[in-house]
Amino acid sequence: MSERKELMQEMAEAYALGGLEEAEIAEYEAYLQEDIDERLRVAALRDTVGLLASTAAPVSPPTGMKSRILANVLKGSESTSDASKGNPDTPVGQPIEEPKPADVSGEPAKRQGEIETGGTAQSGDPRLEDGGTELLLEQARQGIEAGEARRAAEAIGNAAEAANEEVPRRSEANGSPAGDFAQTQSGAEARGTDAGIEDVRQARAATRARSGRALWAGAAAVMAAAAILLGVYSAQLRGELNDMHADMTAMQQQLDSVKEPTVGAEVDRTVALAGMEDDPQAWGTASMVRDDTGTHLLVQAAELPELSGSQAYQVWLIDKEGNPINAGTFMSKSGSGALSYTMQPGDYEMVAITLEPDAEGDQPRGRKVLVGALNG
Amino acid sequence: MNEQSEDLRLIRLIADRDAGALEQLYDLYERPVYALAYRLLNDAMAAEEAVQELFLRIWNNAARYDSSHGKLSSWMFALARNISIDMIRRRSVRASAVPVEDEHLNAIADTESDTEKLVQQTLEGESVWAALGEIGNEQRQVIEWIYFNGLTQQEVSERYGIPLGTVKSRVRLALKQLHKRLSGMERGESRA
Repeated sequence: MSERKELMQEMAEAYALGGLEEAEIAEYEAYLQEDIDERLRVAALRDTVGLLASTAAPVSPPTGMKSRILANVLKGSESTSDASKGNPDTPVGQPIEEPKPADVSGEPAKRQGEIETGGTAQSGDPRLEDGGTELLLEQARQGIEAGEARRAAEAIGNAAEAANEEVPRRSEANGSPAGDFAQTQSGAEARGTDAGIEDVRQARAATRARSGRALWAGAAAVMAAAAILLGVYSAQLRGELNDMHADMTAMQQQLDSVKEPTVGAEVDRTVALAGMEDDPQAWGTASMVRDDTGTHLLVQAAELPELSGSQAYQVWLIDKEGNPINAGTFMSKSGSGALSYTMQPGDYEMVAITLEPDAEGDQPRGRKVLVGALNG
Repeated sequence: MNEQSEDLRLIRLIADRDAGALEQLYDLYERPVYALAYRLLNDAMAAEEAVQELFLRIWNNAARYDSSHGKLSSWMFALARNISIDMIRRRSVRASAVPVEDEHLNAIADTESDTEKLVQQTLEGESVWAALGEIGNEQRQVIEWIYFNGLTQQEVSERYGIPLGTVKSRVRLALKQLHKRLSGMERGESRA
């Protein structure tokens, strides 16, 4: 066996598993083209690696996922899959010859909701999200500018009309045919009729005065509208401020009630928590305590494994359908920890404590350390 | 009709743009590919995106599938893994390492635990777990880092301070042993 062949064949397992660097993948795939036996060996290794997927814990797909995905794939295949078509990550003709660690061309297709949301955000004006006032003011400003431009155009037109009205009259008097403004104006100048020129000037001045008054009237109207809008906006803000004051008052009252000592709390039940196979030494109790503010789960645990890094313990209530409800996280100290949680009314089958990689999860990810049955 | 021939029939129909066949294939593999994506991404929405991308690629590239390169399911899982790992890298969010023992509570989240499909999937998973239990702990750990955490051999060596040659030999040995122990399942005696 040649040294190269031996070297390449040593890469087969890592290639199938997805553990090669880009350059190694390219080198190995080039070699595969010339060694049919190696291709068969890799195909078998791929099937072995494919079985590893079955070790992933069963998880229910989200409700409606199937309809969303099939609709998006079938509807969007023409428009959103160009990247997939043109440069597929893994050519299907060579199914897994490139299980490249991160060789995925293009962005994953957007979920339907994202497309719709994005489209709305793009097509709409983001300023609307600020209550519309800013947009309305902007429209008012644009209106003023447009009005000014329009009125300026009208002023020019009026001046031209005024001149046209004056000059043809003089033209008729002089027996000259009425021409365009330039022609009649030059005709008037040629005749040296100072009075005519003065008439034109007066007509222009009158037009400018009319136009100026109209401009200011328009601007004043728009400003008045803007002032009304600002007044409305201000009233809205005052309303929101009042609401916030009311909320704060309610929260303060709640805080005050929490500060009050509990009166007449009763323990509904207490169950022992038993350590799981990996942590048989761990133990604890879970109590359900009822008072006039609700039912509270009190959990205490001891002889827990020490936490490391960002790890945390998380408490779960398991309902009759087997759904875990997050009851909070705690950090143990010297192997002991405790937590209280105000429960929603309902039937619960079990309380469990898991060792989690961090305190941020809303679904169990780590192993169970302690469990206790609530339905016994 | 066994699993592989049924898969082949479906992928050929999909290549002919048969939407019904795509739906059938989806029904067969939705749960295992979603479970794999969720295992890798640790995020339900991201996992759904990965599954959607997978089926989009199947829909657009089915005509190029060649069964001599491995089972359709193997290709689908490899592609789902690649898509998921790439999403992790793009977002620079490394999925939290999930301990091997996480199965129990995650299984609680599955509300269709009585379906035949899930039982079969679970049984197969248990067989693979058993095979993984028979190989050495160090080999099993390397498989976890590469397959589920998306690291390359080089990255495993650098991150965990293990000589590259040692990592490579553990990968080779682990795959050879798994291949030997799981050869019956690889032939498609049950669906993943």
